[in-house]
Amino acid sequence: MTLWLEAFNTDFWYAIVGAVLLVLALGAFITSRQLIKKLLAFNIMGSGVFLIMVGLAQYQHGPDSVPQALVLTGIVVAVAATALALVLIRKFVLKGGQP
Amino acid sequence: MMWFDLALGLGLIIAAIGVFRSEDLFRAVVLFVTFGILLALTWLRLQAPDLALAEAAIGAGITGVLLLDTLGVFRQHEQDINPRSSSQLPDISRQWAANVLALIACISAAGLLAWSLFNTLKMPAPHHNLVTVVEANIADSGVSHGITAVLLNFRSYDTLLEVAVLLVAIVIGIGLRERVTTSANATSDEGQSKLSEPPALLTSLVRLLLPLLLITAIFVLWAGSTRPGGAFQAGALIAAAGVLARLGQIDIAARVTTMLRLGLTLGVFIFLIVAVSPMLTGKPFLTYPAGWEGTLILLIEFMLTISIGLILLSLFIQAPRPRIPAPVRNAIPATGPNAIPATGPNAIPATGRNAIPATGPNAETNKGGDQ
Repeated sequence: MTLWLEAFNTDFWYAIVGAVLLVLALGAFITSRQLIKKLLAFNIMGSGVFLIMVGLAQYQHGPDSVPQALVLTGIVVAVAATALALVLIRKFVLKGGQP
Repeated sequence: MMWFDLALGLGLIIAAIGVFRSEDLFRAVVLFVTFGILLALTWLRLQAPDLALAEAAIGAGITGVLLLDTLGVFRQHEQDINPRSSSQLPDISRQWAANVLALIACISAAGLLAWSLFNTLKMPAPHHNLVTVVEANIADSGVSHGITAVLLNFRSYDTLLEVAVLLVAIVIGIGLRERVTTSANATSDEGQSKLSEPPALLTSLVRLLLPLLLITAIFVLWAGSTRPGGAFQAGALIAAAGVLARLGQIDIAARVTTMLRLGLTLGVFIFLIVAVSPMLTGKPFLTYPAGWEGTLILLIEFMLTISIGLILLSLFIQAPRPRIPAPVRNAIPATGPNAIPATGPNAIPATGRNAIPATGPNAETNKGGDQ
């Protein structure tokens, strides 16, 4: 327990938050029936991964631009993937599917 | 500040749970945007201002607009088509299987993550870390901001591939849209331009905001070599400006089909040229000539900004929309000019031109219809 407390700082706390988000979003992604909500859960899952990446990389030696640059790339790719998924979902709904 | 961090982290988790639990999609999307804003704050707390900028503009801003626009399309679609076909009841056994699967997946993921986080705590700090490596090499990179140096010099390969991924996304987006257009006798094109008249406040606000947004984008781009900022954030700002303009009925992107495609590919194209040209003199892929790093990085970033902005904007504009039913679209009853249209004015890409009554402009519009 002392081990936890002495190494615990802001970066590590956000890594834990990211892990919790990842787990919750994974469950929501599998169980939700609406496609849009699956997409939202998938996005939040990605955000959880980003938090873990940056938080864990930084908790021992401060701000680190390599994981931050990777996550920046990730955010942009995530929005492109989301937009593409929305195009597909829209097409599916306009053809008569359930959103 | 520890209490602030605790509250912010819990806020993130609560917003996420709110997204998962709300039955109403609109509510879920609004909570998701809230989540994005909280996440932008979180990046600030993690000393990552670049990520905060990107998250606020992209994660909360553009994603939110796309989602809300989609919900609007769904609502319109429901009104257009019919009273909704009775929503089929979910297969109970399938739902059960999904719940069990979700439970197993969650428990194993949680166990794995907890175990690895705990083990990370026990590890001693590594002697050799990336922070020192970046610091040691940043003088040679041509820029003085660490993240830009990583993105466009040390790991420029990743960025090149990332922009290629963006390009693939928009190519698929445009491809899907055009198939809709041809199979629906080119009517969906017009449906796009027939949004309802925008409120006057929005129009005048957009006129004020557009130049401001563009100037901010250029500043963020320029600042990227020494401070937080860079091509992605600037591109997101440009896309936001385009979306705003679109909402205020100033339709930029729909008017320039050929130029738009050129703009979409410009970033990847210039990046590839810069990446390949050293190979002619026998150097490896993606090495900048000595002394030219800063200039070339700025050039690439400028082109990337244009492309990223246009790609994000086009993914918004080109998304499929429901067709407007015929009587609404042609206010004039079908005797006069509307007898012609099967090939004529209806084939024009969505602009405001259709507002002109279709007698004179037919000669002019036919050349537009070929694109």
